Amino acid sequence: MEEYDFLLKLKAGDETAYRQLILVHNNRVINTCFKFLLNKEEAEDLAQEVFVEVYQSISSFRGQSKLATWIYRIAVTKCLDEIKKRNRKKRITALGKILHLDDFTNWIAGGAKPDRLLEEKEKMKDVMEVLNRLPENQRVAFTLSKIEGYTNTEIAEIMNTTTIAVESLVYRAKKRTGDELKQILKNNG
Amino acid sequence: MNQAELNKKADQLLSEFETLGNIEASTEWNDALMAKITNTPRNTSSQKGNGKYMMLVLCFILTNLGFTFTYIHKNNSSSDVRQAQLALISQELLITPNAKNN
Repeated sequence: MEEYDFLLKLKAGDETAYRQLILVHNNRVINTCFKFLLNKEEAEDLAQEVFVEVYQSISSFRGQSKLATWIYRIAVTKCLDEIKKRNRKKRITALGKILHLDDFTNWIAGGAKPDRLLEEKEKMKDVMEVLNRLPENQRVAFTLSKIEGYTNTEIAEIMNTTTIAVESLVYRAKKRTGDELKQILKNNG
Repeated sequence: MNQAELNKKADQLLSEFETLGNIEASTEWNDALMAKITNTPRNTSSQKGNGKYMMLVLCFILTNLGFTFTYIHKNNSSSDVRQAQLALISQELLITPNAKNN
């Protein structure tokens, strides 16, 4: 009942309700974005986009899931979109290097900025590479399971699947990540 | 690197990945977001209705275009058949007198 009243306030555009919503979910949304992107600035920017989208689309939220689940689902979708965008940029930039058209492809890729890798992101480069190779559902389940506070039940709700399926996805992702990471480390000597 | 070392390094990287994060939103971040939100137009139900209406109009236009295209195509192909028939008839008309002469 309380959530229903709160939702009505949000739908009415109540500023205090939004401030409350942000205070409750901000850290978790930022940390979710961070775990997917491994870049603090980008995670903070994307988290803002998540809340803006929540604000814009709250009228279409029918309450079929919990409000929190809906918000985290938006966050995950935005992170996956951002990763796809990054991969696309990487492919275009790589193609440009092969064809010696760096400036042109940089422009096509949307002015790809120079790498702003944080120290931790550099350290996690191999992990990111392995995670990039995972099927999307394994990647989501595995990444969310590594964020403090997400239970398998919650992950299942976000992914619109069962808890057993999440357990299986996390298990397979963990095994594959471990195996591929060892292979990369072996190749790197 | 032997297998044991590889296992250890991989496990270490994964546990480092696990502990990464724990970022806390700053007051500035919250304020910037609130400012952004208050300046953002919301998707109202009337806008949603407009969208539906636009889709309906678009479907109507596309259906009509489809009908027009089919009609033109049919006309063209039937006129092609007619042309072929006329060519055949004229050919026959020309051949018949020649055949009689022969």
